[in-house]
Amino acid sequence: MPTLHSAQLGTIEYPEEHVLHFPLGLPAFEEETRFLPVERPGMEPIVFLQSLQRPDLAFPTLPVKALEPAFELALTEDELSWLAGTDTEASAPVTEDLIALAIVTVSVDGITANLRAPVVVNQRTKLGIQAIQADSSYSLQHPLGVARTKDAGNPCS
Amino acid sequence: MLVIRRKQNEAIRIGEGVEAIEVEVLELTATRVVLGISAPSTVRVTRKELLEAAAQNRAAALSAKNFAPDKFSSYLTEIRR
Repeated sequence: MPTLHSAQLGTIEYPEEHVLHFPLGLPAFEEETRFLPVERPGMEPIVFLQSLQRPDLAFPTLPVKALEPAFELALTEDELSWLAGTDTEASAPVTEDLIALAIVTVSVDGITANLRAPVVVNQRTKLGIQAIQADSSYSLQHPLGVARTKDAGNPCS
Repeated sequence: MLVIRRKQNEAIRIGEGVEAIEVEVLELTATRVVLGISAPSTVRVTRKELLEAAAQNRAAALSAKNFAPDKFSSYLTEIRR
């Protein structure tokens, strides 16, 4: 079984069939075409998208449905075609096969999720793209909560 | 910001000579404008939302490096609320 030495997640053994393929990469990371979804016990529902080409690159993501149950994904013909790949069983991916993940950004100001451009994965073909929702009112920095760390308590309390 | 009203098949030109960029309104629909852009090959034309997504991805990658995964635990309680 292939092994990966991730800077953030440590050593991971994974079966090749778990690998997600992003033929276009991600904006600003066009060279990164292979990612491994990694879940950590106690950290659900976070899914880390660990690059298999860059051990120091792992995006924490959250399923969009966990954040916004009413979220409706809009995909263009081109995007659907990338997700379908050469899958001959269905010319277009079935909604149930698709999972949308919002990339999470943590800063001193707080934690935000990118609902404007979710990562969409076809669980059947293992193909993924980042699908910019041009017509959506959701933000690239959808606030999830106030920043707080275990070792940095509220100085005012 | 300069605002110019144009109809279908009308164009504007930005700059002069070989460096000029021409933007033509090719088609109008209720929700979309189809633009034709003629520019020198050295000028990069990019959809703005793609640049914004790229910038956000860079920020997310950097933040993930600075925040060890176990630090997320405290944030998760907020997410699960």
